[in-house]
Amino acid sequence: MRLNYPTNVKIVKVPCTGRVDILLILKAFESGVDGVYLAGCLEGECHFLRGNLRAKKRVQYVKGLLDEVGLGGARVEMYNMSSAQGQRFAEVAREMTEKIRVLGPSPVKNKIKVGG
Amino acid sequence: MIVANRKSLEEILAMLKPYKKVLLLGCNECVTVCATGGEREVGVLASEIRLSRSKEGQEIEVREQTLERQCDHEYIDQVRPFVGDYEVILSIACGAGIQYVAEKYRTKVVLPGVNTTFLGVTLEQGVWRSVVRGVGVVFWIRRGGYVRLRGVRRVCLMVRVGAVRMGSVRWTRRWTVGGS
Repeated sequence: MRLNYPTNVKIVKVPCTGRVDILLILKAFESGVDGVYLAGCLEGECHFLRGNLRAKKRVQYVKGLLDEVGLGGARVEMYNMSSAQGQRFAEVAREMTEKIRVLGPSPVKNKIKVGG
Repeated sequence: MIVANRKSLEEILAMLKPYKKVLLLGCNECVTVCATGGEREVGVLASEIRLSRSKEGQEIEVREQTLERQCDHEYIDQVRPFVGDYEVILSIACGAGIQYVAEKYRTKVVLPGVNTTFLGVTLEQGVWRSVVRGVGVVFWIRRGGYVRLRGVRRVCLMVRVGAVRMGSVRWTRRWTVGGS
């Protein structure tokens, strides 16, 4: 299809969005990313039945945490698309990049020291 | 089972304000089941603390440690080799665990990250019925001891033995509960 999407989007492959834990998203922010989005299967079409629905709930929870912390819940989003929707994937990548660009860089970038 | 609620992040950050090296202690027993102080909650709270402090440009080191039980001295002793490296212990176990840690490490400031609410039975997943009332809200005071308040009645005020004198407890409006 020769589709383009922004180069600053780094993809982390997981077997299902249900694998994405709250801690994984928070660790990503601790490591200095400006935003995180989950690209899951269409609702009702999860191969593992409820993985994408679980991920959706977790994203909502993390939004609350980020708001509480002061980073802004808008830095994390959940999108649904099928594996055949390459066009949609590129479109979402551009949309999210634009959204994060408006929000600006993460205020915690390169400032965290992890103990133990 | 003991059921507790985590204090708000704002409250926890206010308690941690003077400190830069924090040992965050969780417990693998009751508070894990009520999703308040288990390994995962320790990870989430540590992340929240790091993110919010670094957002303000302040350095903080948080070490995450989840003990099998905080009400058994064998497990509390597991942190002895490195507890001295940290300025403060923030415990998100139930009140029993927090008090026992404070007793074991008398020279350390031990802060409660949860309010122990009640001892209850499980009705269904995530739903408990209170059988025995807990102390409600746990307050922290400057000298490293803490005060437990049952309901709103001062007569039930309990102060950790040897930690503080009653006269040294200073109440602020923010810490006063139940309109008292």
